[in-house]
Amino acid sequence: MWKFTRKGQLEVFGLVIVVILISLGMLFLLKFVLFKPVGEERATFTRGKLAENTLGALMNTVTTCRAESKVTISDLIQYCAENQDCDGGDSCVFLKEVVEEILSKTLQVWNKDYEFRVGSGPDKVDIITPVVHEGCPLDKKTGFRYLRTRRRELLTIELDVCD
Amino acid sequence: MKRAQVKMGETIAILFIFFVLILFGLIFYFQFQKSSFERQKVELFSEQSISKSLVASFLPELICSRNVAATVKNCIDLKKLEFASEEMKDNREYYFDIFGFAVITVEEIYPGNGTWVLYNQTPPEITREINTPIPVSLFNPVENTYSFGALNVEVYT
Repeated sequence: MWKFTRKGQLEVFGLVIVVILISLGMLFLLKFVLFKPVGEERATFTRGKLAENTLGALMNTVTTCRAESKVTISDLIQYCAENQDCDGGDSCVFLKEVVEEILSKTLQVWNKDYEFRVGSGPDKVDIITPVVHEGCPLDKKTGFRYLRTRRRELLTIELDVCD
Repeated sequence: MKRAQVKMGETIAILFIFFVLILFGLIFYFQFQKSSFERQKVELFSEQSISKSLVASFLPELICSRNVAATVKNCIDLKKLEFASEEMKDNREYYFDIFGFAVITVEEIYPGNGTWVLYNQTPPEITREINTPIPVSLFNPVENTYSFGALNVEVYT
């Protein structure tokens, strides 16, 4: 009698372990398969393209810095680094205003957070206050451009874009 | 006799529970398959929208050209844009094979604010839509200047 009771208990114990293992397996399945976010690849692709394309288009854009000549944003960045003015106005202030206007009408409208920085030299010392919308502390894609001033100083232009 | 009946009862009960568990397993499996198909549909649609956006951004009817063979990246020629708009309307069948149900527009952001609708085919019923905006440079060949613009590709299903 005692032997039969022990055997029954052992069987139930085995069944309980099997049920627990199956439940854990199902929970993992639900978590990593069914609730996996869809469209991650597209989000990564568009974020990367956005950063690069935005920076590329930005650098070529002609501004109204000087009435008598066509000053692009890349020229304006060099003016700012070399302390040249915009028809009497501060080129760094003008640069920041133009970049803020463009990024607020594009990336911000498309629900993207961003950070635009221009750094000088190997330590990338900021020559303007970064243009930021919420910032990108974690998962982000960065577009890079490099320019040289007339004094052969390296300028690094970076644009971080994130969701 | 009674013991045999009890044993029979136990066997029937076990079989009943067994089939009920199989039924639950099948229901769970079919639900899983259904949601898996839905996810695949969404992923495929997402990939199609990327592909159509890339095609639109490299259309020869729009992209800038400098010298004979060199092209400027992510650039749209404003003069070409004006003609492309009409051209794409006149050859709707050709572009429908490329873009399907989609709306493609070009917008000037800075310093101007023009908008050009290049392609506009919306389905009678919209199940899903994805908008992929692509920042571009808009080149004015007359003034030799660039402005900042965006190519918006909205894909529908």
